[in-house]
Amino acid sequence: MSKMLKATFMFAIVFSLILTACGSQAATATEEPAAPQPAPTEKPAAAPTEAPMATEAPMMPDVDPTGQTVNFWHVWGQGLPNETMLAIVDDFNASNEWGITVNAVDQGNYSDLEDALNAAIQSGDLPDLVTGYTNAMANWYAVDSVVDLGPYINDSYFGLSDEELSAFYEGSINGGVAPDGSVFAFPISQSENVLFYNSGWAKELGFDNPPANYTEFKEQACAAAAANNADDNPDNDGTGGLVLYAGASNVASFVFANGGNMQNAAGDGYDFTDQTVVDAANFMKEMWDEGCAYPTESYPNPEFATRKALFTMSSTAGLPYQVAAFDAEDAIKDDWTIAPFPGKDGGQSVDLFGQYVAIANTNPERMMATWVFIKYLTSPEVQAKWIEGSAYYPVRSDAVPLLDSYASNNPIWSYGLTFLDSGKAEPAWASWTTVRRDVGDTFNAILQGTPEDIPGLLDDLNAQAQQAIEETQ
Amino acid sequence: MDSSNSSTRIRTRHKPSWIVARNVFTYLFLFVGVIITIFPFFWMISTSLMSLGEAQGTRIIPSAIHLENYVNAWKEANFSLYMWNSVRITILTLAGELTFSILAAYAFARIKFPGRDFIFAAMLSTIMIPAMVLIIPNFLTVTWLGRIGPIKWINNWPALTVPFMGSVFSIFLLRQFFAQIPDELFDAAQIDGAGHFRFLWSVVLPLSKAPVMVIIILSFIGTWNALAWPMLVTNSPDWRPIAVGLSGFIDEAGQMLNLMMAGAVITVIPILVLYFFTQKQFTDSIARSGLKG
Repeated sequence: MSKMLKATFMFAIVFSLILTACGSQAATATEEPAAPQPAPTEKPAAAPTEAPMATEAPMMPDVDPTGQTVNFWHVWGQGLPNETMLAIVDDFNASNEWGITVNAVDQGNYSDLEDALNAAIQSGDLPDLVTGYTNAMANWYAVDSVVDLGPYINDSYFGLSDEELSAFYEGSINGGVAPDGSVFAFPISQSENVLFYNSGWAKELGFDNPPANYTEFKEQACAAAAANNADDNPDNDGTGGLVLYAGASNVASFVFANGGNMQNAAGDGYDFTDQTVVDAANFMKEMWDEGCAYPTESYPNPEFATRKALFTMSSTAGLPYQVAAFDAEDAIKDDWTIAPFPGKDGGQSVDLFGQYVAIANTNPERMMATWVFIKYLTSPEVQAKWIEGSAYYPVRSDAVPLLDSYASNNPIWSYGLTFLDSGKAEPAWASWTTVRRDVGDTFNAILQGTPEDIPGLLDDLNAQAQQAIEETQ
Repeated sequence: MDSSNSSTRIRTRHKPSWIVARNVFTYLFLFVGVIITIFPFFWMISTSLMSLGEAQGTRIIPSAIHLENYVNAWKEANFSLYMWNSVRITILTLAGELTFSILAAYAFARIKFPGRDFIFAAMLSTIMIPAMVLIIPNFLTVTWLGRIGPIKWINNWPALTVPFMGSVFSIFLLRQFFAQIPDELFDAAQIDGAGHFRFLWSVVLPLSKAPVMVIIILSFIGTWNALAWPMLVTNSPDWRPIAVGLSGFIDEAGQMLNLMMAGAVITVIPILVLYFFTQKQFTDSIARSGLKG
């Protein structure tokens, strides 16, 4: 052992020499010029209405993206989505006429990526293109770390035509638009927060269709709960209805289905005392109190696959996990599907979760090169390729016909396509990061409290939301 | 022979019942402790052998063994690169921590200088500061050092290793051991012509194998498992450690629990191997220093 210690200590003694050696190599290998951050006024502005339509001479771009390298931070580091995204990037690098090179780097999950970008803002070592939630991007936009995409969308040379723009789903595009109309985030795909519905079990219980309103929803969930309480299996007592997680996205889905959007009439603040929110709160509370809804500690995929839940609420990005749960040995091989959230009186909607990207504030050439890649990423053919590899939904309707084969092989996913037009996005405001946490806390308090507490709790939520707005302005 | 057996039987028969009860209770208590300790490892290994569907459920034992999870986890999480990165980061951090801790501890234990006890107490008080509180200041510091120095810190080994080379806990632990070494040994070494460095190298360190091993193990575990800091100071795979690979099994809609646990098994193997080889010194040091978990 003394020999080992001596060896260790000897190694430690020469440590400083090693550091020096490593240092010079690493510095050489990783040195990059610091990203310049010009003022936002350097955006290439070109009004589409003023663009000359004559074609005598080839139109030239205002900003030349030739030869730029685009560092793309994303969250699809594993599995088929990763392979697909890397293949798309490779195709772009090999085929784009500007010699732009995209370097895609996985940054972990969304939270990791947000931390990394916040750190990069401090260090000044910004990437060019970043994936994230829109509320995080709104924060970055507020500190000029990402730029308004309006000038790029409207660019006379690289922009999108009116026809192309009209192909994008409105709810998806709107998710990245600030109250002042600036576009700080652009969708490359989307998913939906939907109801997972055990249609096979529902038929046995006497229900042929997913619920279309609160009355039907409660009737079906309570029937399932009653069935589990009445059977011979004591392990499933207290289960059967809706697995209810009162997070902001689920609350938003209920509110959207009621026709609301949690915003005030002016569209510049939140309103959680609106009747659409109150109705959603009362409904969730009733379901909870009557034993027709219950919580689980983790993702409720196993419960849904074993008749412990007629309904769960989940993103369509969770479809592969649910499919896997039904493959388990102890799963009950029921037919199941997805459904939009029903409103109180028959409306329906889903909460659209977009996979958004934003362009970091670097320099005009790099930013234009980044936009060229975004435009490629959202072109119909590339959309189709990305969707087949990621199981998300496209952001433009003209990509749907290219997905016929995929849709026929994935009927549940295909059914979800029909919800896209009625979908709405959560507020794309910087304050939403805080407010969505407050929404979750408030609705959990509603579930644990009495029905009489609801108005007061929603009033408090309004006050908290207002404070969050003031803190982020 | 017969009489000996007979006396044994007599002694056994006359063992007071309260002693028997105490022993039963003690072993029962220890058995429960063993179960509580082992169960997470058992669950990790068992889940690593399940299909994804089973892993999401409540099964304890897999219905079929899915050894391919290990291969898939290795490939999916880019473990080849991340494992190598972890090895590099751990070696650099360990070497730096041992160097600085041993020298600092020796100074605090055996060299008298003005303000020694005050400096030691001030340094010790920094243990009270939660590590998470230091993340932002440390990040700003390494960013600044990267800007002013010749070496790039972010996305490079300095940001991952240098902040952890000065460990107050390690200095404290070593200092307590070094201080127990009799002055007579130093006097004898001086008579033989040894200075402080010779005394440290030839006398103090050979006597301090146990605490050094403790530092090696604790530092190894801490560095090997680090996630938050490496995620903050790296934005490319070049220097990312193995824990980053593990975190990749979580996405916005769920987690690949079976692959994650297979990856966790792979990740924990080096720690277990190191512990098995240094177990004696580790427990010996804990016993002698009075440290408790």
